[in-house]
Amino acid sequence: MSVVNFTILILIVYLVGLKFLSYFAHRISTASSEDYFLASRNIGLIALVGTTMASIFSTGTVVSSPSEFYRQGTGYFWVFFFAFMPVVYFFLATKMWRLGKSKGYITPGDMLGDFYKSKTVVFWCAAIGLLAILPYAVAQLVAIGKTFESLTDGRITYFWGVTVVSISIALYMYFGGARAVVWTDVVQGFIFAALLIIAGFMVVSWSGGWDPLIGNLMEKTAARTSFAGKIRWNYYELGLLPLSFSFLPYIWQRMYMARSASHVAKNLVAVPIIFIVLFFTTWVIGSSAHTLLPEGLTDADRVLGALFSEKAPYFGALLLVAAFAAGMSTVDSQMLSAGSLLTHDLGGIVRRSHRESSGVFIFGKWSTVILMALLYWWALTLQTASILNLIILGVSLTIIYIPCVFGMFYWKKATPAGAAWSMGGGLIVFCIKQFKIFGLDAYLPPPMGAITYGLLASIVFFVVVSLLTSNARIMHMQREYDEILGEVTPQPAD
Amino acid sequence: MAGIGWSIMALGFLMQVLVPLGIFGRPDGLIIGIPAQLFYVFVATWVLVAGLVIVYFSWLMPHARRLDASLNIED
Repeated sequence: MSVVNFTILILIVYLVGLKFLSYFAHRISTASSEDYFLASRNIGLIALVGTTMASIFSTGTVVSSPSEFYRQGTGYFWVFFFAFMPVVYFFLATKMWRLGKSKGYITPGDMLGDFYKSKTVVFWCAAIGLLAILPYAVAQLVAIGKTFESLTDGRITYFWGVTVVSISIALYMYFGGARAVVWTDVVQGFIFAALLIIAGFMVVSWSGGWDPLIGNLMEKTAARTSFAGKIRWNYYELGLLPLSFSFLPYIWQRMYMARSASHVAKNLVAVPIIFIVLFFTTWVIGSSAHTLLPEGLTDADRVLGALFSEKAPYFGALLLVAAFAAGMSTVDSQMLSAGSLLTHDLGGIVRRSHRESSGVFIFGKWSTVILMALLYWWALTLQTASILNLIILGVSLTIIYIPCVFGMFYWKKATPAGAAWSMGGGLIVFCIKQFKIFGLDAYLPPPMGAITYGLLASIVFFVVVSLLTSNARIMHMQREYDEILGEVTPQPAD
Repeated sequence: MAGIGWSIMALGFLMQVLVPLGIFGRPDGLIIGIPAQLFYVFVATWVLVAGLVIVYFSWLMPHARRLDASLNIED
């Protein structure tokens, strides 16, 4: 059997398997928004770790990370700052879970809007969430399309790669909702993690063992094993991404999904350990390319395809499934989350009392599918785009949430106006710097980039406006949250 | 105990920040088969995670169990 036919067969088997899973998920689902978007807040530990892992580790891990280690070497080591990511949630996750359970929150905007009693806050929260999710999601489709093409030597084109993955995701997302996403995430997460680790061992073997691989790396590309001359502000600015990554809406919503707070806690400690193992593997794969591909590559994003299409084409087909799995398991979570932002947050479409109506449920399902179609169309125009740049753009935006979220739990002087100005102002400053709007970025000089300026602006707006305005409107919310979280300090009169 | 965990975590993070700047020098050789500068970053990352695990056992997990108990949820 030819490699292309084998690849197609494996993909068909894989997609049919996913379809079965989503069918069973559909059978036990109920027609409600809470079940469709959050699987009725009843996700067990293994499923929670699986879906979080699959949502965090995307094609950015399987495809882009080996490519960037190959291209940049030490310049990409900022990615190890991501081990810090769960620490942010140590302060927040169990609170989010408890409040979500108690007050029925579905989106991040639900929580922020309810606490700050402000529709403006809900609007900005949803807008930032959507603007963050879409570039990140489209990057997954682009990566899958590129990997399809390079692993089949162009016999399955970028167009068909993107088309197949988009249709598959739309189908199982429409029918199964969050439960299908979680179940398929667990399977997909295991598949791509296992295949990636096997791939790591294979490239070491092809290089003649560990010592020749490292020896060759240090001899031919010594600069890629040293930080000398590589460290600019940008390296540390990208190190801020673990902070913003935690606040991507679909990661946030995983805290609502858990069955218990203990599961939330165990999930937080599992993630960084899995993270280090997988990213170390991608460093090995990327570094091996200097030995195994001495002629070099014009497009670094094709490292994985180039390594395996010649040496082990049938395993390469399996790796394509790994890339497929990694991308799909992230996009489905992102689209489901984007659907919930559209349905529940934007435009005040849904009153809380109407949320469980069948109309809202159907609108939610269709909005995820329509978003998927738009994403598909966008991906077709991005064949030459850098995957990593799209991912970074998406992940960076949610840095703007940070002051409002921490303020909600840890600063009694936070006000609704402060929160609204923080998100709106932070987003505007971020966009001015990132997209050089009207040349205003001249007032935001380097070396700091959009991430730093966005964060600084959101902090300054939050603190200054909060100090200038009254928080009387939300004082009862602070008390209510304290009561729910069991943090009420007994008064002397008690 | 949680305080020790937070300190170890902070140490790991600090190492992650300082190693690339060359504060500990820029050694050229290998340590356990890994280029020395990269080895230090890997160690820094594991130190951070070790601190995280200590904080998890000493503070986060007991806190989560208390929350579950208040809602009669069994782990």
